[in-house]
Amino acid sequence: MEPIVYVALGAALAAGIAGAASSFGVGIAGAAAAGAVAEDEKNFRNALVLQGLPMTQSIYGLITLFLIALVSGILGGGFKFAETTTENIIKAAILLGAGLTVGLTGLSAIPQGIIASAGIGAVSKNPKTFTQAIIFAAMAETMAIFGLVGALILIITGVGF
Amino acid sequence: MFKPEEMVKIEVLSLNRYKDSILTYLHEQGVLEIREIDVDVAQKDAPNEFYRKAASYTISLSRLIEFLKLYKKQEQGGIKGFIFPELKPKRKYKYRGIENLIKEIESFLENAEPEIKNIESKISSLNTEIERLKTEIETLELLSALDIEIEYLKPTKSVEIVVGFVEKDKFLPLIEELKKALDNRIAYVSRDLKGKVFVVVALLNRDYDKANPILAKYSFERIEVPEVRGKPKEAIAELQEEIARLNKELEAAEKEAKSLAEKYHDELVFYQELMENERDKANMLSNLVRTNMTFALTGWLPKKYVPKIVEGLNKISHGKIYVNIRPPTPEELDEIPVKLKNPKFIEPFEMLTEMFGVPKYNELDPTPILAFTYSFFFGFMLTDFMYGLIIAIVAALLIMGHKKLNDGVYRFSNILLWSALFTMVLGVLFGSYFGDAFQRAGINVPAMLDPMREALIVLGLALAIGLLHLFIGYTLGFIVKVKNKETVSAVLEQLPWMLIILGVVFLALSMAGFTSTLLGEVFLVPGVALFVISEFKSDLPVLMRLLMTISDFFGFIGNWLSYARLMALALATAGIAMVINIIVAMIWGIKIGPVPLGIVIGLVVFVGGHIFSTAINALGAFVHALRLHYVEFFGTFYSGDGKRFEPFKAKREVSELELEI
Repeated sequence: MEPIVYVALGAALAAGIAGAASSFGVGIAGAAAAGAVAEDEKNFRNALVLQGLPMTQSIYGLITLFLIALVSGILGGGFKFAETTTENIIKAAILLGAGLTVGLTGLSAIPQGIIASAGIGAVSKNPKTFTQAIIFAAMAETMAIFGLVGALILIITGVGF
Repeated sequence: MFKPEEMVKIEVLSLNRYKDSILTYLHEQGVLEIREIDVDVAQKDAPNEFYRKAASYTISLSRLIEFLKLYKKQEQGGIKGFIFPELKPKRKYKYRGIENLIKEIESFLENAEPEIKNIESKISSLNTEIERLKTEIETLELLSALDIEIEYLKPTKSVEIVVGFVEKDKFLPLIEELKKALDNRIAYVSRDLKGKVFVVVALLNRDYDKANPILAKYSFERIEVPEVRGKPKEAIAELQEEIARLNKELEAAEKEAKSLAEKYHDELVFYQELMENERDKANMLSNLVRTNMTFALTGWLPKKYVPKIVEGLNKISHGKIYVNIRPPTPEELDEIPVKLKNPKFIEPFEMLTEMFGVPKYNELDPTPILAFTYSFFFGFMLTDFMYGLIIAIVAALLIMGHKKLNDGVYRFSNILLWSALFTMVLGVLFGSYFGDAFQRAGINVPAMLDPMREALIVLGLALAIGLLHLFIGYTLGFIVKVKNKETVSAVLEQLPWMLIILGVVFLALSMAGFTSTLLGEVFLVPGVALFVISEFKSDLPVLMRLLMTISDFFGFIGNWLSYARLMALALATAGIAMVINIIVAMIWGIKIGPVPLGIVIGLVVFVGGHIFSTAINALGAFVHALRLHYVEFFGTFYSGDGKRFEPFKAKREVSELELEI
């Protein structure tokens, strides 16, 4: 395959899968947030923060997309791996791997949304549990963070600027 | 610092006639946690009639307040009200026993309650009347399709008239069946209306019982014909006039309610607070014991307040009191309430420790360490001078506005301010000002480390910090346990990991050529050995012990690698900032003719984007710094099983008590 296919797929899957997962997560939490606000408008701020938590995976995806675009030269200057040499294919495939890592670990946004929605329910009953609810939701993000760490190492040491 | 406030047990015995004033004095001081006494010779105290009245007045006061609140002038809202909340003035009250207070409230309510209730019922009855008229108008609008006198739709002695809707496809069958059942003794008119058929059926009174089930069978929706005269259109006009008149009345009533709110609301809130405090005292009575003449109470008190409280108690009871102060015994260890004690600048971080749980009385208070590492982790994950500056400014404003209130916002802002200072320092080290905005603009800024290009170094740094953090945790646990004479547990649970960490560090150093490998092995081998021994000491089956050993070992590795999030979030900040800067750079050059549109849009995107980035990254840094402490750091040594000090304390937001002694 041409290197551009790998690179484009890597960028697209990172931002695409993570973004789709985030929107599921935010959606699940958002439905709970709407209910909590109907109960008492004071829940709005707490519910909003909790609802925003599953959004980070899409940000990790976006960062990866930009990094892949930067190191491969799509952003700023021409595409670096246009020729189909072995080295270019290797580098392009690394970028695909990195993108896929972030995309798949980004699926953690869905369970995070479920946790956040339960947290919103808990917080609307007892606002004191707010921080605890945030921590519970943040646990699910660990996997996405590990994915990002792996991808960053792959991109920066495997391909480099 | 590190140790909680020193506590002593206090026992008080005095005459019943001083009970109210002693209880009130302690309530106002708010430094004593009262505990239940378990004595056989005396009976438990119970609230008297006045306390019961206090509880019921609390409820009626809060109902009145709820109503008047709707008509109270809105307080300052919005951002300014949040940052600089107004301080409510405190009204003084001279306390001369609960009997006097109840009498005063009764005489106040005697005037205020009927006045407020009067307006309340007036407004609510006006509202129902207006609602009723509105539904009547709706019905009349339907009837106006017929354009006949409303009176004709009223039943007479021998004729019953039924008005309502039926589905289109059910209309003809309904009429057929009615005709059949009643031998054609019906008359009807119909109109197509709103996708249904509007029907008026006239039938004989004696046939009504036969017709009724048929109407129900075809799900005939009946309409109540309003009690008005004339044609529908005329009636509607009349009713609308009536509504306008009622609305005017309602307006007048609401105005009156507003003036009542002005007059009574603050006073009601003041009395409500007094009553709630009385109720609070009444609830505490069950922890006391009494005889015919005397009563006794016991509780925990921070040692530093002892002289003041003893003097106060003596003064109130004119010396007719017995007070015993003694240090806690070892058996009482689990019962001693824990109040954290830290210097002023660390104090706000107690909030974070308390959220997890306070230490036991003989354990160590991790707040001072947490204060430093938490702010540092926050700073490491945000690493941007400008983002730090934004947060610092917001936090400083909040601190200024909430200083006098000393509430949760104030403490939280203090935590944020410290975290923001670390963010700024680390931002300078990483050369990050709105990400790489300056570099992109062609201005060179000095940087120790470029997080993007030298990501591996940042990762190494993050893991080294993590190892140090865990080592501190295990060491603290070790020290505390040795001090509390739990040496075995200290050697088995904390020491192995301390040795393993030291071993790993020295091995890493030897790889870099600093020390010999031997030093590393000296620590690592006994560490691993101790770890395996401790795992095999449990009474699980052998296979399970083996599995537990493996799982615990990887648990440690997982905890350690978890610190990699420091690097990931630091890079995420840099990454988001970079993305914003790239987008701004792309639209900066756009021009429509001579108009530099790109600069305008670019500035909007720049400001908006970086504010969003600050918010989302600060949230991430806040959450993950906390998580690193709760899950990884506290997991090494901290139980958080202590009992929090909950003093018997009056709530004083709008009132101030002067106790007559």
